[in-house]
Amino acid sequence: MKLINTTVFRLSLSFAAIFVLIFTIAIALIYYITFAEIETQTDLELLHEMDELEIHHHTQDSAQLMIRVNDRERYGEHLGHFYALLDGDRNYVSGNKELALLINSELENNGNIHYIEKEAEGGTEDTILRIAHKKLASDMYLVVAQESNSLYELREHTLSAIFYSVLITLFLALIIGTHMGRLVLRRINKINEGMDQSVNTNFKQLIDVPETDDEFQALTLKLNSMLERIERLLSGMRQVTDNIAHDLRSPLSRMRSRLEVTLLQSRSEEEYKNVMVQAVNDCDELLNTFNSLLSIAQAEAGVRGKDWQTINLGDLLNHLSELYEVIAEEKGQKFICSSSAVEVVGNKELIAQAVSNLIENAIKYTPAGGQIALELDNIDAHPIIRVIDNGPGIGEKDRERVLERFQRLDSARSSPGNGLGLSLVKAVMTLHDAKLILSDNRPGLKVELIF
Amino acid sequence: MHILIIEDDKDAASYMVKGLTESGHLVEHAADGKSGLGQALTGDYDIMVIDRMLPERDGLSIIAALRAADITTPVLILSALGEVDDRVEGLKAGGDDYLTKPYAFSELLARVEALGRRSKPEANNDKLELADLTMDLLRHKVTRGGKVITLQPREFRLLEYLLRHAGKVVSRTMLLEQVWDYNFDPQTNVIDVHISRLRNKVDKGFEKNLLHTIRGAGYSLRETH
Repeated sequence: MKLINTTVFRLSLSFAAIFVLIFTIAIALIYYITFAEIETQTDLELLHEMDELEIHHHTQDSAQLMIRVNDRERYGEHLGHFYALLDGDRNYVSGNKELALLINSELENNGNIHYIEKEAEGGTEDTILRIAHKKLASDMYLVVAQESNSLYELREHTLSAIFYSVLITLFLALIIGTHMGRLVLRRINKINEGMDQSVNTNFKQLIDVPETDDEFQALTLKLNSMLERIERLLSGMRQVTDNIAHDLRSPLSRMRSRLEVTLLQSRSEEEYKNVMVQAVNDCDELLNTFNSLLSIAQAEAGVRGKDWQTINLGDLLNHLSELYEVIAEEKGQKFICSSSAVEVVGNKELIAQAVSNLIENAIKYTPAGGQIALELDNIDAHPIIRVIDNGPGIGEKDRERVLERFQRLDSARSSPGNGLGLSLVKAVMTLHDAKLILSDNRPGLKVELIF
Repeated sequence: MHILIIEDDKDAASYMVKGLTESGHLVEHAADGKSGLGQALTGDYDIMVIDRMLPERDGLSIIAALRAADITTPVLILSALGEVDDRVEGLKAGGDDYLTKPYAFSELLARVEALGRRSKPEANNDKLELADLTMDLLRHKVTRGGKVITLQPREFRLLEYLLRHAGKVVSRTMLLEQVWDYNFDPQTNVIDVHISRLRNKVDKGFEKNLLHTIRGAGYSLRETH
């Protein structure tokens, strides 16, 4: 990925631009206010001087004024103050001659204050003068000037300060943006590489989790859990395929060889009939397995849909126990059902099937004389269905495994079944956000469905 | 019975035609939705078996068209979609029963015959009779040869269903659906146990057995085997 395409890089550039803009506006504002303040001060001083000299002119005659202007000029020069007096025809009368020449053409009858640039003489810098003048009652022009170089320097310094600051800011932003972009890019690339590796190893290898506790770690953990899920699904699918190959192939090949052998020579009608009845039974077994697989797939793909309703679990358990009680009795088992009015929202059909699978398992694996209990409880607003038997139970290490499709314990292989019953229960529970817990009843198995 | 099958799978249809014909029914077959609807509208049938997924016109819309034309012939819907939702949808559209593929032919036959039976009005609603077995629906009383038989409520419903379909074969799935109201196949022989209990009460001690097991298909309540 290109650096310029990273979000961090673009962000730091835009932040820099915004910063420069704000900075420039602030400096310009400060400059403007300062400049205006200083200018006002200067002008006030100039006008004040002018007023003083004019008062003298009123009280005394023009000759006195000339002398005063000359005096002021002499004492004020090193302070940057300049004075000049011109007559009505704009000829130099007294004070600073240069100033008089400089202003000559710009004299106005009503007077004003403005800047004039005095060109440098031999190596010195140009001088900027702030000049005020006024036409006196005696038709003479009085000119007062103040050197304002420092004000102009302030302006120039300010401008260059802005310029360099902008330059430095942009430069820094570029460097920081590049650095941060690289940093982020490196970490993203690491995650990308990890994902590629994971894909290449069929999701077996996970992405290395960064040690820093930040968003990248969180992202990596999320991605890893996703990869793990994909891996689980993939291996689940593989396992199901293997199992289908095994569990569906054996009845199919059994049926095929049975039919094939029957066809080897002609047989009596009775024999043909027998073989066909067996073939039909084999087919039923296959269809059963298929239907169970379909039910599981439907439960797994299911959503909370229109077939969800409020279910009275007490009624449901009572009906099921009525259905199965007699079978337990036939097997010489004691069947106890204790239920109360507890309700849950869900798919009635699927929950009934799940519970019936558990009851059937209990009846199937509990020996004669055993006891099977169907209980309904409600703890902290969580309805709990328990199917408890005192049969052989399931060893702790096998309790996870028996929930997988087609998994049958070795001890159960002799009895009929397809190893899908508990898988369906698990799928139904997952669909209902409910928990399926297998535990030891000492002796026997206790299965809890916690909604 | 005069049966119309609308099914586009040729092999499945030919087996169905063969099986139903051999079971003593008069069967006609249409291979697509359009011609199927044409036949259904013009012919006089006792029952129709309609596949849901058909070329030209789907099964549910055929049923809707039939019902709109005031044709109330019972319809059995065949479908590869087995979810409860689909079943409800099919029955809502006007179907009378729903069978999911893959199905056993015996199951189809039993359901078709049960539906055919349903279309005829029942003569006497208070009393069901077969040979010397009598069920008084009003008084909830069952007698055989004058002897009172005591039944549990569920056994009563089971016998009632069998009596209403006397002479026909009913499958285990049908019993589970109709008597217990469950739409799933149990892995164990739960229905067999209930039937054998009922048989103990109804047939034991009597000369003639009425409740027969039909191998590979289900059960039937009838006088002769």
